[in-house]
Amino acid sequence: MRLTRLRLVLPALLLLALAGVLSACGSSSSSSSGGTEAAGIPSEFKAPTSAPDSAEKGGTLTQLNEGDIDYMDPGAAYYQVTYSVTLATQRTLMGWPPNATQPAPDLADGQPQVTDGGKTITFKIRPGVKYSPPVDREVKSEDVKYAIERSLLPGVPNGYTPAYLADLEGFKQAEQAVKNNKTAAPDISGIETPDDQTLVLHLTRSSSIPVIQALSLPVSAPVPEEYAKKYDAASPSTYGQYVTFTGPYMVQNDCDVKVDTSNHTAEAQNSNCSGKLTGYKPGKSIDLVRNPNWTGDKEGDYRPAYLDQIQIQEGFSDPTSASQKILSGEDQVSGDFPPSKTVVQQVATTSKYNKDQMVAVPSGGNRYIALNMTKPPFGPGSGLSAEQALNVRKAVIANSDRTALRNTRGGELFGPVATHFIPPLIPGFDEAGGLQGPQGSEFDFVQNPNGDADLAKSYMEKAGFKSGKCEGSVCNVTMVGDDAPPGKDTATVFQHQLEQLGFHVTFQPVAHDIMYTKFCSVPANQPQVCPNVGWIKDFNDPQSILQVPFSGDSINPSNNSNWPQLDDPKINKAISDAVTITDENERAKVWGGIDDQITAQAPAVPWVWDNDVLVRSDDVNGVANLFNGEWDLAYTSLSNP
Amino acid sequence: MLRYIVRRVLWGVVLLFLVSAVIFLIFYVFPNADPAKLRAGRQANPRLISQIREQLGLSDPIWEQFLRYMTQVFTPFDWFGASQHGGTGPLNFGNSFQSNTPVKEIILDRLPATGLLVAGAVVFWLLMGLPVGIISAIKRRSALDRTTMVTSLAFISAPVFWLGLVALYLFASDVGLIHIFPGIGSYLDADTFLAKCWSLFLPWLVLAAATAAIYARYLRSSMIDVMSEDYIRTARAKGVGERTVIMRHEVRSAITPIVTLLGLDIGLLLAGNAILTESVFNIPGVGREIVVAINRSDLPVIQGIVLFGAFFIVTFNLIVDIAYAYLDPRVRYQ
Amino acid sequence: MSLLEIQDLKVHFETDDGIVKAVDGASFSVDEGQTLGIVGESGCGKSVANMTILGLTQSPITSIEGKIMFEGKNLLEASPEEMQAIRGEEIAMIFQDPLTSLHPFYKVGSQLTEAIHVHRDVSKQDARDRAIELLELVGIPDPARRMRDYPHEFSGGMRQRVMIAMALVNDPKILIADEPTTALDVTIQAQILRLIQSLQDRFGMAVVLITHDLGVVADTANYINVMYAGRIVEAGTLDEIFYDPQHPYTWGLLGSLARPDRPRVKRLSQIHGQPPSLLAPPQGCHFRPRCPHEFDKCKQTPSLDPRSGTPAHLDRCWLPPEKKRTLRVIQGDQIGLEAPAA
Repeated sequence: MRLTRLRLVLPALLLLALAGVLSACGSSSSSSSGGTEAAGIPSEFKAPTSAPDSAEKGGTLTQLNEGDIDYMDPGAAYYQVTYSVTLATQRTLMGWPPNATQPAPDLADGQPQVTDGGKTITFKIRPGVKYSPPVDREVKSEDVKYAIERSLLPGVPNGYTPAYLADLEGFKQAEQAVKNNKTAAPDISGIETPDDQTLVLHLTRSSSIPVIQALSLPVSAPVPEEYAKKYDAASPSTYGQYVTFTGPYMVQNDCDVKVDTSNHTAEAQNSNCSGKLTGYKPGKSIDLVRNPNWTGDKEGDYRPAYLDQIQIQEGFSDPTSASQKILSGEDQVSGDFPPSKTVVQQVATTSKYNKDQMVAVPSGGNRYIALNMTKPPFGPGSGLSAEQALNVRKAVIANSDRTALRNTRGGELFGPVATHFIPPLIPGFDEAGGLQGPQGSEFDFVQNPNGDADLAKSYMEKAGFKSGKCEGSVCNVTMVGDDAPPGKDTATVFQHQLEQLGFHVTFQPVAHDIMYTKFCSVPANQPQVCPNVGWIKDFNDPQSILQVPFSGDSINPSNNSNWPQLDDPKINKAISDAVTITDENERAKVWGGIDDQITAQAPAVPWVWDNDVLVRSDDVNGVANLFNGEWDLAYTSLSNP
Repeated sequence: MLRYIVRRVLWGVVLLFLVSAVIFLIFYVFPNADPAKLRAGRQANPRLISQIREQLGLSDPIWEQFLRYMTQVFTPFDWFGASQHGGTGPLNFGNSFQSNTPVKEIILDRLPATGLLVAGAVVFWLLMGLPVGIISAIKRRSALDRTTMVTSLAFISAPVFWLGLVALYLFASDVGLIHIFPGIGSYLDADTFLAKCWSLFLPWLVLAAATAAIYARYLRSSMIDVMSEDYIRTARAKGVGERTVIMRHEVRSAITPIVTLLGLDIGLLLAGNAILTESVFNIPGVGREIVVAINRSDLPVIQGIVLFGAFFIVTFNLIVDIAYAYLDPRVRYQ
Repeated sequence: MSLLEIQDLKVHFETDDGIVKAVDGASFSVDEGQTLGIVGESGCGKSVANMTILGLTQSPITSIEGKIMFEGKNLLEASPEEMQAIRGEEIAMIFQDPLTSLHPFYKVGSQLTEAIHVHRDVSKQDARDRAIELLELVGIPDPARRMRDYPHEFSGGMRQRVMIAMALVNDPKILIADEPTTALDVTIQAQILRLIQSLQDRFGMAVVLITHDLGVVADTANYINVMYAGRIVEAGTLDEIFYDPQHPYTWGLLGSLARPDRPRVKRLSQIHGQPPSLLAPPQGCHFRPRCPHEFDKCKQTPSLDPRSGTPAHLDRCWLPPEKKRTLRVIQGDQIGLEAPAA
């Protein structure tokens, strides 16, 4: 998925912060696989991924957010910020305990069976899992089938289903059916439900690994058809206002659920209710309460669910004051914004707050600066051959001080400097070179994180610029980037770096969403440089981090996420072949190789493997979830509830 | 008088119509983020995007979209495909592109916060600004007068956002130096009306500060003009006591332009002008909502808030004009 | 004893350009039941002097010297409360422009009753009745209904009647009328003047009539003071001023007066020049620069003394009285101010 930190809106005048390079860090960037050390996080800021033994039930936690979740409807949920809510309120087929690097069965009763060379997947659904009031009934396998099918409706705009579940048999026919009837979910013949507890998926090719991973996304949260049908008939669907829940928590609805704080149970007060969510006020707040029908580990749920209630408050546009409110206050955690550089420095270098109130988690995402390979100077044209353009791109990467770029986000805590594209903790990371990156002379341009001016000069010469700097009208480049920090800072720093190499850069800052939907994601309007792009894994498989951003097959004219427009037939074929590898080790190896092939083409300047930085109040035992890089609301507890 | 009011109301409706048209035009002419793409997510294929666009009614010609919207707002009829795109009216402002919740619900949910913020601020800025203006005029050129005028200039020039942050860092109970008032986001925590009022104390002061300063200066100059009028001399010649001369005669005359200003200010604030105060303190009002809506190209929300805002401004202008006629008998029979 | 005696009143204003000597040593008195006319050009200090009686010229830049004796008390030393008790109760004043002199936002009735309530502890109804009574007295038709009207709903003449009613509502001992007819039509002027006179007959108060037009005081004044550039330059009875004027300025005023009771003159004589700046008035006699009869002695400030023979007829002119009688006659038998025929 596209990287987004629903960004800060208004900078504080009083607080002009410069990059807080943490002096007291002493991080060890040894490349060991797994663990947060791989992400370069110093041990004092390591996020706990399990609850302490002394954790107690009870209390209300407040999570402060800058923006809103994207959709309450799990069928449409796209951004990781929304997963904070879905991880706590829904039981998906496969789920993510906080410290898991691979999905664990949640609604599924055990790991699925993969047969037929990876083309048939059989899930057993746990019996006894019930929906929240007012639906109240047990979950059946038909509900998961319906959940997947409804995500084809245009009223349930799901970006993942066509990307990862298109290999289901009958998928194309289902898409056609939707064209004719937009008000009812189509039938996908490749999903079978022989009985209430069994779900069988038939694929047209052996892409079982990405399919199973994709079924850890919210789209596999069960949806009862008889309840949701009428809402899905509206255009767009209004199910998002009536969602029903299977997880330990639910969003408050008109059944008026009351939590008994003495024995930590919940009960609906109103039996005459429609299920309309009263606890979701878009842009304002989300009220989560215990789900009265959740039975916990009796039905195999690994979540402890300590808190009685959670309130997500939105609209905190200034990260400095919001972070300080959390750090000085009680019972609060941060949501979708990192602390500002000022606060990071405050926590790291002063004793105003405890150091362990600030933690970092790898987000599973990368950030890079895309160089448009379809036009000069980063692509052939105006007298530049493809070979020369490649050398120009290599020169640009060699010249860039990627540490400086990384530091515009706030310093080492925000992630190690990237040397290729697969982030730490994703299979294929080590195979692609780990933290050091791919070795060998063909990768020399990416090996110095602080930039190598001489090397850059030599690449420019190879590209035909005898002076070692760009010459001529081909050096005029346009860059469209964020108009607010920190994106704007990153773009500005890069602009200087380009100018060192002789380019004339016109920087056009625009609002974040406009940058994508009007410029960088529209090939016809795309400038030479898009500095504020990146990608987050959809799940822990390298396909989800490399396919869409770098395969030529995924370039499309109006919503393109392959920003460099890399279209190398060898890489394209390697990618589409690697989708169907069913052996885990081989998969990691092959995708690691693809990562290096991509890096060798120098389509973009990789500059950081992002860490999410979170803060909490002192009395909160925060547990972070490695899947979405946020506090896990079903594992976090208060120290005096 | 009745005919005058009716005429003004009709003009008000025409104005609302024109304002809506202008917003529509701006939205389509200026670059914004495509709401269909935003809704579709980053990996959506073009077909999905165009399906969403059609669902949102964005693939119809602009004039049709506009007339459909006007139909939904002002009439109960099902013209221009109203029932397929959000339902019929009247007073149906469509659904948010983002959350698909009715815009009217969103706005009515946000208005009380802005309303309470504005109401309290009005009280404070009148209480702070008017006495200062009167006293400064009476003690013109004294040390007190000069001090208040310089101070007021400082408050007018200080950016609201900065002032808000300073207030928080001085007085907020969580992050401030002196722990008195509730801090950021306390409005969201407040359950009762009184708790909400308490949470708005700092925002009231901050929002009132600059306005109070403006009103003080304005009233001061209005008073100085009035003080030299002949009828003030007559009042004194009648033997009226100084305090009565000031309050019943001078202030009574000087206050009328303030009334006009007040009506305009209230209308503007209810239309979303309190955005900065709402942002600093995280008050979920219409000001903050419209900025968020603009950033994600949520046209129905933008339209709805602007229309509500225009309505408030038109209404308050009308109220002010009627009040003015009540206050100044000379303008009554126009 | 006079009701009101002004002794050597000096009223100076400190401005950025210097000290403006608006009133530079004026002395006069008002007797019970008498009508005193004070005549002079605008800026001569007549309004300032009279407003000072009521304490209406007080300000940080004003300095006042002299004495204003009212019923044995020096008003310049009175406390603000004492002054308030006198204004509108013992001494009342009406002003030139009745439209701007009445509060536009209050009904006429309430402005009248305010004048009553400030000084008397009476019921609202009694005050109302008294106000209606006065309105009727000043000739406002349908006074009970008109009480509810606003000043802008009256015509100019009616408004001035209202002002007069307001001034007289507490039966003051002195009514000071500052140019009461200047802003009105000529026909209305006569009505107002007659009204004032009839009210004076009825109530017996003293009237100070301030004007720039000698014709206005010709009918009604007993005694006339002529003021010029902050000083009283001649003071005498009506007949004395009109028939035996002693000061060249008075001659000029008379000469420029159209006299329907006399044969038509060939031309009205005028006083050449402009009144002096009160910042830096001429040394000695203030009228010197405009006086065709000036001579050396005029450089000394003439004192205000009786020179014509009658003890109460005072003037400030060094010219010998016999000469005056000759110099003042122009064009045959008219009185006026002209350079003597060579």
